[in-house]
Amino acid sequence: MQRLTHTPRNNWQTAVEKYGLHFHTADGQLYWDESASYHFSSFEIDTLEFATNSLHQMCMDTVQQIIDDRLFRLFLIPEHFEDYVIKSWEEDQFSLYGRFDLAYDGFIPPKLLEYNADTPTSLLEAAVIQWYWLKDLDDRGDQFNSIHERLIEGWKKIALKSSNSLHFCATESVVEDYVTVEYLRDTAIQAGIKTNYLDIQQVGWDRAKNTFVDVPGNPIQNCFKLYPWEWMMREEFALNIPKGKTQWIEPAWKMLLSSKSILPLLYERYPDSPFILPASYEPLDVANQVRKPIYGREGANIQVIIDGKVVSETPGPYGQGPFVYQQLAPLKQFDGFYPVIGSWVIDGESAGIGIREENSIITKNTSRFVPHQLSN
Amino acid sequence: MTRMGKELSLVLVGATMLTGGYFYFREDDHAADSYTNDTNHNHSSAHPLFIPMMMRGSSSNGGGGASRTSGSITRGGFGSTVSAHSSGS
Repeated sequence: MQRLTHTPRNNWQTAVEKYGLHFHTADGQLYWDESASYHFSSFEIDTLEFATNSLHQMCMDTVQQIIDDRLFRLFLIPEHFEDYVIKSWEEDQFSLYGRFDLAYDGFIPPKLLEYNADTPTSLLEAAVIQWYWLKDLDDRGDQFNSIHERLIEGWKKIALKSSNSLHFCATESVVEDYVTVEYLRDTAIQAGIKTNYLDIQQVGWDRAKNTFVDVPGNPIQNCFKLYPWEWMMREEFALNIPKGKTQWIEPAWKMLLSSKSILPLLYERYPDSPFILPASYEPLDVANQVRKPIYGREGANIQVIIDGKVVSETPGPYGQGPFVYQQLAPLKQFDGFYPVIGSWVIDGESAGIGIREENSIITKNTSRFVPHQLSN
Repeated sequence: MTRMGKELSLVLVGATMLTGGYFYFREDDHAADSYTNDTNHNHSSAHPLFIPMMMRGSSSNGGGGASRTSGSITRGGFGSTVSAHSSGS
């Protein structure tokens, strides 16, 4: 695994905007950064793929344990919502995608930092933008990336089960969220599915019909929402969710994996896995660890503890906790930057990677997306 | 190992989706409908609609979760958290 520097394409802004990445720069700082790329050997990619598939299986087995032992309080799931989560699992409600964030340097086994299992973004960048970057750079180059094709294949399973229209919801005022959902809608259309888009705030509840409805008032049968379950189950419509017949994508059971509360359970169940770091609901008896809020997002309220002392802490709205503690991953610097591998799971299988890098060991919403390629 | 081995295509996302600081998403629905109709033979109507684009952290919908009811339908019961945070991770 190497980090190599490049001269960006002369027209790189136009090139990435052509495929929808209009948020390549934010507040004057690059988000899409093609002045460097990470290079991987086939062995390293095989390692990432194996780790991803292994972690996914361990996660699925741990969800079953949570369901069996009704450990919902660890996830702050309201009691009245528990049966709905169980139902979503027992009905095997369709899950399209998720993204493991992994610490990896090409030497040690990849280590799970967290699983963005409910509302992962950085998808268009990983699936499309970095691919066309590679094609411009080296038409014969290769990449660990079948995300786009796998999304289309994944949607076809929904198309086979239901002829109903598939609705897509996001917060359209957040450009990254909107573009992510429109990209997913693009892949659903290519799978032959009739789609509609509406803002999450436009979702209606028809109390006469006991169903969620779209803007014209049609029932929402299937809905992809880029909106976290931990928010949905605390908002005004929460009590309607179990009453309605809408199939939500991602399903409710994915909130068990998207919470950092899964990390101590994974460690408890698989203490010898090379891919899982020690983690606990209490401070660990180790010198170097990270405190994470169980529903924190985008690097907010992360506390890094080195030699028993807090050396850095990010701001955010999750400072009240609760928290989990995870042993500090042995992150390696590449030219002064810390990369985190976003490893995509599409329809239950490893499908490709995207990389975010940061000057510090905490990946934030401003961390740059840097493309990758396979070494010759 | 899985690798991408062919060219990919987009039918909806691209240069026409975001232009000059505005979303033209309903116009894109023409493309979406056209593509899906070619394969599913369905029909729907679409009307141009322009929504001002704002950067993350702001909201064009007021936020706050103030729901509104018309007949038997209530809207605004989701989305009250978005005025403060992005929904992605």
